[in-house]
Amino acid sequence: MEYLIVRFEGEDRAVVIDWRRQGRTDQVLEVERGTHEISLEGPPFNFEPLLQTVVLMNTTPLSPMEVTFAKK
Amino acid sequence: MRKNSFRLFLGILSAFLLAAGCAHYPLNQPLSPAEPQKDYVYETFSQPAETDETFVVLTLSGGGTRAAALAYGVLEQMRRTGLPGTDRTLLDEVDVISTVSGGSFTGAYYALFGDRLFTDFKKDFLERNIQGELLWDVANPVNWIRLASPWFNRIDLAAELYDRTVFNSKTFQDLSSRGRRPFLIINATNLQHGARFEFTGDQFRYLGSDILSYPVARAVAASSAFPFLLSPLSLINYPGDRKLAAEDRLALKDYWINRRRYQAANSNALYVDAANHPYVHLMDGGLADNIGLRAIFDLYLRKDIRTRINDGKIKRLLVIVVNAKAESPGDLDRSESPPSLMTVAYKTCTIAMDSYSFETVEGFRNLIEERIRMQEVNHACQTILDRHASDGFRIPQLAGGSMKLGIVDISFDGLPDPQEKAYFNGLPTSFSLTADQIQKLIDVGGRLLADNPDFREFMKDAF
Repeated sequence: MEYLIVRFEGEDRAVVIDWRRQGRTDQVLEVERGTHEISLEGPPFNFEPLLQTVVLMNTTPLSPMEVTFAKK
Repeated sequence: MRKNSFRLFLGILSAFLLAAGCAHYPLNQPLSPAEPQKDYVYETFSQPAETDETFVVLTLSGGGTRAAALAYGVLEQMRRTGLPGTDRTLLDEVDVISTVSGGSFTGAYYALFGDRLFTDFKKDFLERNIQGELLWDVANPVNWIRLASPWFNRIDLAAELYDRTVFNSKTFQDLSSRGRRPFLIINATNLQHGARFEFTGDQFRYLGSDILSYPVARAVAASSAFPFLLSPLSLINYPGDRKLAAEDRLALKDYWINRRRYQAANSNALYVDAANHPYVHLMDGGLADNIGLRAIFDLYLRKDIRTRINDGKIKRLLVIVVNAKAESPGDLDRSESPPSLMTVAYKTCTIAMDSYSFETVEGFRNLIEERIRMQEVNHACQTILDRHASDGFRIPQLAGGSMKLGIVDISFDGLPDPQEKAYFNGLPTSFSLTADQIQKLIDVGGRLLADNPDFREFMKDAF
C-alpha cells in the first residue's frame, strides 16, 4: 500500500479519491500504488485546484505523499 | 404407405428441428436507462449499527459437495460462536461472502434464505445426488431436442435443476430486497481472457445488463461449470455508449507501476468494447481463483473495505477462507513407471490451481501483516517522540487507527491426525456424497474453525 495525506489549510474535510469518498484531511490514508485523482468533498467547492492527479509510489506512513488544496 | 411413412418422418423431423431451434438459454436483460433502480452493490446492503465496527468476510471454495458441506460446517460453528457481552453470534457479523463452485451453493443459499440453511439445506442440496439428477435430465428425450439447439446446453439444464430444486426461482432482486448483509459475490471465470467474473451490479453494468432480474441459480451454475462435464454459460454484452469507471480509467495508466491494478481494469475495458466482445462465456470460478479470495483483494485494495477503513468505520477485520481442496496423497513416487494419462490430466488441472490458492492466501496474509506493522511503527515512533521530544508533536494518524486484523485459513491441511487428513483428502470432487461423508465434513468444518490458532488468537481479545 501507499500513503497519502491531504491538507486543506488545517480545515477538516472529507477526501475524495478516484471519485469515491475516503477518509478526511490531515489523516494518513492508505491507498493502492498507482495513478489517482484527489479532490475534496463539496459543496462548498471553495478549494483549488478542484482535482489533482498524483502517482502514488514509494511512500511510507511516516513520509506520505502530501497533496494540498488552497482556499479560494 | 411408404409415402405416408416418409411424410410422417419428415413431420417428426420438422417438429424436432423446430423445437430444437426454439430452445434458448434465458437471456440476461439489458439495463433500462428509463428506470434507474436500486442496484446489487455492496453499498446498498445495510448492517445493524451495533455490528458495523466488525467486518467479517467469508470465502467459500470450490470442490463440489465436499466444499458445500465443509462450508456448511464452518457457518454452523460461526452460528454457535457467541460474541462476549452481546446476544449476537459471529455469523451475524458476516458482511461479505465470496463463493466459488461448490461453495456457491452454500453461500447463495445462506444469503437468500438466512437461517433456513440450517434446517433445509441438507435435504435441498447436500444429501441429494445432484449429478445423478443431472444425468436423468440429460437422458430425458424431451431434453435431447432442446440440447440439439446451438443455444441451449448442458449448463442450462443444470441451471434449471438448481433453480427448480434449490433456489426456488430466486433472482438477484430477491437478494437485494433482503437489504441486509451478507453481500454475496458469486465468482465465475471469463473463458475469453481467463479473468474472474463476479455476479455483482458493478460487473453487470459493464455488460449494460440488469443483474436484478437474473436468476441466482444461473450464477451458481456458471460458478460451478466444471470444464468438460458442463458447458460454458453465456451472457450478452449489450452494445451501448458505456464508459470505464474513473478508477479503471486511471488504472489503465499503471501498467509499469501496478500490474495487478492495471490487469483488473484491462478486463473491464474489454466489456466496454461490446462491438468486439458481444458475448461472455463463463465457466467454473475455480479456473480464475478457486477460493474466492481475489474478490476480497479487490475490496481491500481499492473498493468498499478500503473506503470503510479510511473512513475509520472498521475496528476489526476478520477474513475466513474455507478451502476444501483435497490432496490425494497418491503413490506416484512409489512406482518406476510414469503415471497414467488420466492421472497426469488430473494433476495438470489441480496442481496449478492449488499453488495459486496457496499464494493467494499468503499474499492476503502479507497485506494484513503490512497494515499491522504500519500501525505498530506509527505507535512506536510516537512513543519515542513523546519520550525524547518536548514540543508535543503528534505524528499524523493512520486513518482507521489501530484495527484488529486476522486471516483464518481453513483446510484439511490443518488436521493434526494423518489418518483423518488422508480420509478427507480422499473424498472426491463430485455432487454426490454419502450421508456419512457429509456429516463428517460438517463436523470437521466446525472443528477446523474452532481449533484454528489464528481464529483463537483473533477472538481472544477482539470483542
